[in-house]
Amino acid sequence: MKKIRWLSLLLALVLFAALLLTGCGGSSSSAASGEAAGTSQGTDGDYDQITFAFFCNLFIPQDMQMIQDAMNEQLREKIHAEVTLVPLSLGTYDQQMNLMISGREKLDLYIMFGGDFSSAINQNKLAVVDPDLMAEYAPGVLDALGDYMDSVTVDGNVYGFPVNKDMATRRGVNLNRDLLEKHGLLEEAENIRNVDDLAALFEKMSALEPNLIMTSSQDNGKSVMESGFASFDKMGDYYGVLMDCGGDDLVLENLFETEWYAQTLEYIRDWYNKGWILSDGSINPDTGINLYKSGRLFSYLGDKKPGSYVDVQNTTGIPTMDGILTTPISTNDTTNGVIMAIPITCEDQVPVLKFLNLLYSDAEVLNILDWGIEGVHYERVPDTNTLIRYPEGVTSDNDGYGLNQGWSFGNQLISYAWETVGTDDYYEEMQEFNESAVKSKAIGFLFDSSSVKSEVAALDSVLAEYRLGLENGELDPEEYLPKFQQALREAGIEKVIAEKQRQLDEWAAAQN
Amino acid sequence: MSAKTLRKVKRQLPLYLMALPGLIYLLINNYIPMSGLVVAFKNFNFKDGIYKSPWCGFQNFKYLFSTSASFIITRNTLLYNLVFIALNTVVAIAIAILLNEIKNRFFVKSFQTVILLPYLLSIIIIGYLVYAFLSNDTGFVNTQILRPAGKEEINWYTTPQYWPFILVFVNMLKNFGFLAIIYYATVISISSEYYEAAQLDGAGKLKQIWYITLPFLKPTVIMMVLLAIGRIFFSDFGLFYQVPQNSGALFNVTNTIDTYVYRALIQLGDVGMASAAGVYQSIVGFVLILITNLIVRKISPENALF
Repeated sequence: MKKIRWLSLLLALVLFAALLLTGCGGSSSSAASGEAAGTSQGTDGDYDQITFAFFCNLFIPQDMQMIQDAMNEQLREKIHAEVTLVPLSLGTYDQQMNLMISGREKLDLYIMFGGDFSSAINQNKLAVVDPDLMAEYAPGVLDALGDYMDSVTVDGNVYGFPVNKDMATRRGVNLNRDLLEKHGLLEEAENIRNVDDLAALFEKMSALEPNLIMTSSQDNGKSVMESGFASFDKMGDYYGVLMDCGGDDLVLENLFETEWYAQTLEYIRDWYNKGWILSDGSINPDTGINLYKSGRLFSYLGDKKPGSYVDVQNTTGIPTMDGILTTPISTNDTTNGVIMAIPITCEDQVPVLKFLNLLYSDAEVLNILDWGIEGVHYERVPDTNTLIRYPEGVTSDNDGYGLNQGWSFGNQLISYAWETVGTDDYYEEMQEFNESAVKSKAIGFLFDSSSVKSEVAALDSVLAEYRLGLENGELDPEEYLPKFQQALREAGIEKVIAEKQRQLDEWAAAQN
Repeated sequence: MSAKTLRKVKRQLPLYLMALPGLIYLLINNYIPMSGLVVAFKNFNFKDGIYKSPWCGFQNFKYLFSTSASFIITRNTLLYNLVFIALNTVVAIAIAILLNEIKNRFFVKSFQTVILLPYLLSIIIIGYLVYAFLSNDTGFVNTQILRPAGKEEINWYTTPQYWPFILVFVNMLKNFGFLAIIYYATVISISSEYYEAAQLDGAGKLKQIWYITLPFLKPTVIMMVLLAIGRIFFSDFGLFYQVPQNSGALFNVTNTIDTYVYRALIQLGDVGMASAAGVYQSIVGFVLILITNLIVRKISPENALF
């Protein structure tokens, strides 16, 4: 009997110890994934250590260590520093970053989507970049970005650096070239300049191919209006917009009460009633490219940067051509697509700025991060300056890197481009596109919504209820638009617009 | 401390030790974070952290009550949960009793597995299964039932009136199996002597169920219902968000407190406001548990939780 009692005590102790150990194991491994720097820090103390976190859109590449080593080889020599890369999956990225910053872990640089920039500043996540250090150590960044620095400057303080890539947006349509050729409509498609031209094409095509759905929005979660019609500065959150990008003055309008909005909804509703638009685009998880690939759609609407039809062609295997529907515009939302920012946990900005300087001006370093190692993950296409492809024997299945995220680091316009873009002048075309855009007068203005955040929260939930249904033509605007407008007023849209206008006026006054 | 108590404690020491990890877990996971509740009353920012951020009173709660949606989300959350609790309990008890009547072990095991399976499926998968039935152009109901029958097809995801039934049905399908297994475990533990005695007295099957099985089930049922009532202000996010595919046209009947908070804050990402919703839900749930327990104690004191 006594023996058994001791045995149970022993068992309990073992269990307890095991629990403690697994507990500790768990925390230490998560810490290690957070900052693998810890180990190398001790040994290579004389190099400046930079911890750089970023999200991985699809998966975390297996050759990350190889990439880090290759970058460090360059960094040690060029800026006497070492970087620790912290790749995180996109799904949990926001939470991880919040934890790292609020937990004061070592973190010197991270990337974020521009939509989160304003709240990150308001919530004190970001450090102000020291202007003197920036001028001294990161001239390459300032050169590359030029005026785009305005969009990350708030009250005279710089809080981050936008990734230099396509900095403007315009709406367009991906059209199935095979079908156009089959019915002899190619020429008509080439002459598309606006939605009326597109409607005329749909009219003919829907008669010829009655079983096809003519078009859909870019993807589930984006509306037909946003994908094919919108050409205004939405000022971040749609509450108070500049319809003509501030052409004459900086007077905000309530988009949802404008004549333009009502007419556009009518127009889209008409398409819907004719059966041209996917009937359940708001909820269909395959809206856009997936249904287009399956052959159920003749076309789908969406943002168009130069040569983006090549991407679509490669993904879907369907010969595709672009139709452009609006003029390109450049707003805070387009210039701040992805931002590289220094969080408050950074203790020394100097090495971080030097590192940024390389990402914006040194193609050798940037290409490692963007594409991997030459000969292992890619090779140059002969007789081109910028194009690369898989080396012999490497495919997308066994590629150890394949992050393919040039749009999220530094100055994409100096990096290589994958051969599928089809032209050696890809980035020059992008530069031209950026320069051709109509620039919003409100670039550089960021709305601080903290004083009206209850209203914004209530408005966001109203938008979720009505916007997609109306802008996809599924709800009859005659019945639902007044309801939508009423719900927005009730949730306080006027108060939010007034506050935004007040801040905008103040900002504009400070500019002169 | 008397020698007797000392001896008693010593004898039970292993048991205490065995409970210790669980207690520590509870402390770390459930009690220590409670101090973080203050964040609901603060204007949180990352530089100052949870405890040093400035206070803002009840400002963070405002968005929960400021619009006409407040009534709808509270109504939906409460009513759906009440229906779920009532219906799932009744169905689960019925299934548990029926399972007990099956004498073939093979069939019992197969039924158990089959009814438990939906409980183990991710709600996202269930959302897609429902979509496969209800989608406009390719859904089973529209293409295989309504169309051949010559009826007009229904645009399910923009037609709110069907959704209360769909959601209740989906929820039942997903959860009754798990509850049924819990009740079944209680039912099989009832000694067969009671039934034999009842049979001798001439009680039929229904009488046996009414006078023996159900009274034995009562404590378990009360406990499960009390636990469910504590969560009555929380809704199954997946059920109300994924299954209706986040369709705006259905919000009148699908919007609950959790989905409202998610949609309102996904852009803002405000920590304080999110916590405010959690505090509100927990406090109402806590009060409701106290009240229900009070009622149970009045009616049958031996079954009350505390």
